[in-house]
Amino acid sequence: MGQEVKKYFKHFMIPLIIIGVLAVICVVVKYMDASKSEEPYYYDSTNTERVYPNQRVFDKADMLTDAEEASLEAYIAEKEKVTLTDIVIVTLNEPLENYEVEYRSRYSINVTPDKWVMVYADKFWEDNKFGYDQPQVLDGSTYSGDGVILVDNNYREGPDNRIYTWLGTTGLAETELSSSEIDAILDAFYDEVDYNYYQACIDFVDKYVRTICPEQYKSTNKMDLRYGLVIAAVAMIIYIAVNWKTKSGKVTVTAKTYLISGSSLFPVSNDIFIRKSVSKTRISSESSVGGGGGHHTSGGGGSHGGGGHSR
Amino acid sequence: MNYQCKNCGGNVVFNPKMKSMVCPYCDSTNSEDIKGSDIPSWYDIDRDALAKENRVYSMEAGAEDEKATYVCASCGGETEIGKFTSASRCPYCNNYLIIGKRISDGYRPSMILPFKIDKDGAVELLEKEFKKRIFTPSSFLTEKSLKDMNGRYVPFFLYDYKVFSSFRGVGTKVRSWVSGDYRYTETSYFQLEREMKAVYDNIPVDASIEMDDSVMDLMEPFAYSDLMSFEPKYLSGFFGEVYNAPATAFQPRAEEKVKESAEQLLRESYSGFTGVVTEHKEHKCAAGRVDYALLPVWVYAYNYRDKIYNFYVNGQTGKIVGRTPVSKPKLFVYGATVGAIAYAAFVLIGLIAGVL
Repeated sequence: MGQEVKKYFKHFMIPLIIIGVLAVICVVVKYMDASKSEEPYYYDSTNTERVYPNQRVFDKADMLTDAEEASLEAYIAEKEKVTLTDIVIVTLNEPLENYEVEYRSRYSINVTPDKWVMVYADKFWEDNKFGYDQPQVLDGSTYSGDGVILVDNNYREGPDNRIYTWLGTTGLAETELSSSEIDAILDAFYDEVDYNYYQACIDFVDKYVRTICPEQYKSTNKMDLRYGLVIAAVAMIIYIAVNWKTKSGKVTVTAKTYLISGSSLFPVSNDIFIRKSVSKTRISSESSVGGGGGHHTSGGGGSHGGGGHSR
Repeated sequence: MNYQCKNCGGNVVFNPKMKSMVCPYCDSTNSEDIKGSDIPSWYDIDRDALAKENRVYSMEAGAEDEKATYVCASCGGETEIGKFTSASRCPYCNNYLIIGKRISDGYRPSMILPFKIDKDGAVELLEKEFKKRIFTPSSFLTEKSLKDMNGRYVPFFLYDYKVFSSFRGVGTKVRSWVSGDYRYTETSYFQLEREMKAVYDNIPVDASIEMDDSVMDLMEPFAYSDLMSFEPKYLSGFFGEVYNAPATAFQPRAEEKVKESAEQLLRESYSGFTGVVTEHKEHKCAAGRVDYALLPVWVYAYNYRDKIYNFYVNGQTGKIVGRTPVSKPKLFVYGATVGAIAYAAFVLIGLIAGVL
């Protein structure tokens, strides 16, 4: 019996050593992770000046039920702590053509009808002193007032008679999100907006979180341990199947066993080059080109980014 | 005929360990006398000339004497012998018989590879092998009983071959590099032309119907340096067969082996290419000299739990072919371990990569 046990360990010695080494590496990695994560990755919002300290959803067009609003508020509150930005959602159902004409005239860019929602978003942000870190400092810089605001005006207006939506970015969000990322976030909102407004809002928040802190998202997307069981079962089945019957013997002849050594000659052996072809493919870079989209200075003097969609 | 000891009258056999004729009864060496010789008197004349002669081995073995009987030279007992038997054992007096007619004329082997491993040596090798195979049930080692065992000279034809291979095709080489934001992949096309000549010596094909081809292929290779010109005495103490069909009947298997080897050599010649598309390929084989040789194989049959397990031991190299039973409980324990190791590896790698 003792001999059988010895044989067993001898048979599995190398895999067991590998597992042991992996275990050591794992412990080291986890230890290093643990010592790293002591640094404060997250902080609670330091902005105490918000006009609405606990409200982020302003459902002026009454697109959501009270229960949906409450649950969306809770969801946003949770995600703000992860992204370190304020996330504000405003639904409107009013004409904005004559909204704050004086404020609008001070814009750094030409305000076309599709950007009337932008003016609303900027002013709403500035007036209500949003910003995870602090209210936005209105000096044209991008270091303050971290957050995003989604304004969806359900009133059809403008020459095209459309519903305009704006995603405004400020501070950290302005520097982190590119135009294409803003587009993608708005797309996520628009996917469901006509069918399930609440779900559209959730999708918007999710997409935003995923975009601005992908590493956060990754760590929540854990691999299922059941895959491990499947792999283990497959390995076991293959091993048992292969060994179900013993092999009767190994092949011990090679191509050269009966060849008279040195007798194999190549009187003709030509490799004639014919042609070559070169193809090139773009390497898709995982890291997005940061640097913000849709920068402008608002009528209040704050720097904002963002992008709009309409439907 | 058989070999009888001059000193004690016992049956003298060839002893692989001593490499000579030994009487197992009185331990005398080289004390043998041929009794009841039924080989032609010219047998020993000019053996070397005979070996050089290019013979065709076209006789249909056993055709003329199906169900033959043979009279034992020692005891006079009449025994039935198989269609192809050339050496056997008298069932009455247990002496080893050599059937002269089946080692003369067209049946005369040009070469023989005498046994190098004796009975005990073969058993020792087998026991070692059984222990080495991890899934052998422990009870197999202790419970099995030897049902049958004999040393056999298996008839082989050794074919010489020349092969001319030609090949034409297109080979590709792929090179890849990164510059700026782009990955460049360059594929170069080459017209490949090959002509190959190769010469093969002594490709063995067993000429025994009874012996399984796949088993005999696994017995290979035999080291031909030990081949001797044939002498009947090497058969004493063993069993033997004549070739079961003319040399031409086994030629296709030799050709198959040649082509397989040539194919591999050819492929090696363009192994530097990433991909090869064949346009034309041909192997032309030209058969050369054929030799008829007897090669040594120990055949063992074990009885274990009402089943018979056959094992073959190369009488020269000791290589073992045969299936041992597999202990299912052992196999499941090992399989479960493999599963556990796979699972542990999955979890650990997952943890290290940070996805778990």
